[in-house]
Amino acid sequence: MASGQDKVVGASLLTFSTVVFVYYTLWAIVMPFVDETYFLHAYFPPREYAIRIPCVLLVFGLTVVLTFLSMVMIKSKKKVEKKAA
Amino acid sequence: MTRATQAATFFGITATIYLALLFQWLPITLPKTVQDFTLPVLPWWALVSFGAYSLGNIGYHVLTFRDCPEAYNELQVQISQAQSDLRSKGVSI
Repeated sequence: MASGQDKVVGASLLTFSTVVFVYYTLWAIVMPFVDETYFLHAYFPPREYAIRIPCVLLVFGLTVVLTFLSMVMIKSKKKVEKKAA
Repeated sequence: MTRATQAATFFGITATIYLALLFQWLPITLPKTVQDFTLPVLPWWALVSFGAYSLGNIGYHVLTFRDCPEAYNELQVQISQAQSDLRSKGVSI
């Protein structure tokens, strides 16, 4: 079987992703149809953040990935130039 | 039909239906909350769900990964055989 530490990592990833999915689904899909005075609304931030947070995360993630990609490409081009010189 | 064509077709059809509902090209009237909030939030919900599914899938497979001791032992035997064989031919290991 997978080692103890691997199991902990795997289980925590699984529970984290399940919690994220359930919370976000409730927030974005279910809450708009729930009466405004219901107690559950206190557990969720204002609805606009359900769009803003994934948007910001996506932009941030893309920036990191593409910056890394561009740095690698620039480095490899410099190496080729150095070799040719 | 290749996998890519299949995926592209599914994506295209979903996107067309979604855009048709979003820009109200069809003579269908949806409830106000659905039209104003649920439809715009659906792509983001799909993205979050896809991310959660990917992460959960990785976590699940890490959790249930099973060692195979016979394969491990067999591999060790093969490694030592290869090492001794190469050493006899003069390669330093």
